[in-house]
Amino acid sequence: MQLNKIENKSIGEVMYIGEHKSGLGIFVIPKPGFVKKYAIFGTRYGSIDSQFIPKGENQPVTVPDGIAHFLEHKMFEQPDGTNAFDKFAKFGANANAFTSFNCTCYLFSCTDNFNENFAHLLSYVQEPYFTDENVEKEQGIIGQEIRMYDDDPDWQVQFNLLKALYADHPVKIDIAGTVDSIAKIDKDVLYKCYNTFYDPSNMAVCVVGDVNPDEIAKIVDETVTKEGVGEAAVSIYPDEPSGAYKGEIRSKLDVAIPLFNLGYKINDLSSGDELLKNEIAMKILVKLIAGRSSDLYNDMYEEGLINANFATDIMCEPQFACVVFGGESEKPEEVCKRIEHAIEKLKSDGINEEDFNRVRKAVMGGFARGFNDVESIGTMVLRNILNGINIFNFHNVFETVDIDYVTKCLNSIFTKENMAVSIVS
Amino acid sequence: MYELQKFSIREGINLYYINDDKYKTVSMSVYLHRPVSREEVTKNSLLSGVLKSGTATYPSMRQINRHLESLYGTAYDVSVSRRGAIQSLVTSCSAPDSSVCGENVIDDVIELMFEFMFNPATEDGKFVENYVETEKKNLKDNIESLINDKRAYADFRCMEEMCEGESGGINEYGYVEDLKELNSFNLYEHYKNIITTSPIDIFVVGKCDIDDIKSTVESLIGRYDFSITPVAMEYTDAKKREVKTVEESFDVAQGKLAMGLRTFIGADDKLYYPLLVGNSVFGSGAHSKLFNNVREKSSLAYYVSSRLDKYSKVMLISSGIEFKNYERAKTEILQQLDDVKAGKITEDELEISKDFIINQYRSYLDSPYMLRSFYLGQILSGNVVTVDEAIENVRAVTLEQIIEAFADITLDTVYFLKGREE
Repeated sequence: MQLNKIENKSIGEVMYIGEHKSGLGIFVIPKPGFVKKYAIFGTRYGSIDSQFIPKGENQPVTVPDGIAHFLEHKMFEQPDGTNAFDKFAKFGANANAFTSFNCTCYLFSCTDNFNENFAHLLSYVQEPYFTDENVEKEQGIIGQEIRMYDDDPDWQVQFNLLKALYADHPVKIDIAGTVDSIAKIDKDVLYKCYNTFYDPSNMAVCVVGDVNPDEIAKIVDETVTKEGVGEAAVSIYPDEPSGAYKGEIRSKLDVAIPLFNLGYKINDLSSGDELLKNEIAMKILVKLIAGRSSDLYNDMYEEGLINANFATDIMCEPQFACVVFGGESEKPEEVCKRIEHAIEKLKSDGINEEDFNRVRKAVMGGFARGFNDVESIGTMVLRNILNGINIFNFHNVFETVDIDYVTKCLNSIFTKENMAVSIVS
Repeated sequence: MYELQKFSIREGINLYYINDDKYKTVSMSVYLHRPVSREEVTKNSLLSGVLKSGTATYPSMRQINRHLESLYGTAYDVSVSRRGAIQSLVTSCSAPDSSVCGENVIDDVIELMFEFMFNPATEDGKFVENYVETEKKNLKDNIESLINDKRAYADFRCMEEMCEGESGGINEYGYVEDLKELNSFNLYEHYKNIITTSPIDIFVVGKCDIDDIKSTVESLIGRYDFSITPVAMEYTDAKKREVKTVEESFDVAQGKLAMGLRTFIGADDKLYYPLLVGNSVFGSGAHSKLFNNVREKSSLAYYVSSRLDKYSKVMLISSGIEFKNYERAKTEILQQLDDVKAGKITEDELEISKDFIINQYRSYLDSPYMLRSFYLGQILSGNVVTVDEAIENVRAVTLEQIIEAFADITLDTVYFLKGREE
């Protein structure tokens, strides 16, 4: 396999990129001096992909909610009755996996035996082993996990916000599904999902650490034996109307201080560099509106309306996008009003150039900081790759985000129609 | 590389440097150490909030944060951290290296760290009233919000019930009822009492001119008169007793079972490394007996793991279970412990557990935070070994030593967080 070298001079990093004949994308970032090595293997398949045209068929099917996460758990089951964790443990690796809305990733880090661990990662994710018995056992374990999230106020406040923002889009459904939905999962439907979405052409692998890229390519060549179909899996998402679905959702849990999430739905979706550009613009905007140096944050903090847990979150994905202001407050309605008011004020005053330049510096420094450890580099690079973004282009795209563009985003996204509130008290 | 260089600035004040050029940042932190006491923890915890609210030069958070944004988003925090009988007030900053931002911001950042510690914003010879009141409320919220995370809450309650009257049972973040009496006067008095009388350790991790930093630190330190009382790590002398059982009810769907055990082995004990390896066999990691038998084989828990507090000589087993499985889960967990005590450990289990810990130790070499935390723990317990030496100690552990280390481990407290009865 041929690898191409690219470079980002601003942060002094290089990346080797290749494509295996199966269609699997390979991304290697050598980090001399680091002891830890990290690999992450992911597929463009997450909790929102519950309606799709299965590989080899032509009619769309709908599968139970929570199946992508269920499948992730089940991938660790090996045909010889062992667990994929066992081998990682034997080779001294720390292994894990996660399922998000739009991707599923398998990963490990280790300081020794990298090649063995890497070959194991590639192999076990290519070898599903689902039986009636092991599916039933998993239903018990995941049922517990779902109950745990039911008791988690942070999780509740976030999902209630998504339920308020989205009318039909599956992003509003819990990633793990419900106890009822996962009860409908059986081994046949798991294989159907696996065969459709775990095709190498729908996947990518990223390695970060003190490694030799050619050696990585060689292991991929030896270990990936599957033929890719070469055509992307097709998911079907409902047509989501623009604007927030409902203004507000409230729920009750044992919490010391009420939790709130105020969100704005981003209706215009994008992908590739355009998506990265929007994400950078949103990062700058939320800092200007409610960052640690903003009047809004400091006034509310000094008045005791919010505490240091106040935070902002940006979800910029090709299939959905929103921005969230969240935290704890005795007066969540008042906080929401103040955020809205600060946004209106920023719209009418316009963005101050000095503030813009200062916040830009912080965003740039934050990007460089992300290259401090192998895990955060690998996860960031892979998740972006799965969204069609080469994060090594950051500085080029960053330069295109000017004050006019950010102002345009401010005016089009932060409107009453796009806004929803979730409160847990 | 990775070697800890030590510079004595003066009696009780040391500067430690780990030279490593692979990071995009230079991380710096100043630790001020205090003996843990119920009387003082709340004050120190509140102090950390007040100190980050403003300095003489940057009198508000707004000004501090604007300054830090212009330093390419340098991150800062003032907080408290506790290791057994020692509570530390910590100021830390992480600044982008000049190679990624094109400017050297390190001197500005060091200056700012000392401002946080030694030159806070004041009014009329006391702390700024508003800041103290705001931080009192924040700290109250913070202490009370522990209950939002039922797992952490159950673990904390177990420690609190178990180590009543010991340093290990004290909440490092303080107590809501002790906050009432604190104000901008008496907190400033407390600050003045401790700021020049407590040992200070300064850590720098990254690539920088350490001679330059050392002279900056010396000149900053030289502005104050110090009279430092050393702080020593003291261990509990708690004895075995009848198992204490505590249950509490909340509106929850899943139960949390936390079990506290006495290990009688501290950070400086010769059996510490055997205990560490044995704990990994027992309950730390996906290779452990707890994970494989209680979670995977019997599906009795969504999570179950054990961890050591080497400064409090405690092992804490933490699990999330269905209410109805309480007895079964408890029995199964203790069965696994008995197996370790009886030495029912395969060659494979032993090797995997050692590799797991060694992997963790080696990983510290890639994290400025973990590395300084590792060394600080060693410095405070009076026995400094390097990461490589710690790895050698782990490798040398034998099955017989694990049996010896586990022989005395005794269940002390069972805490169960359950649902409300209908």
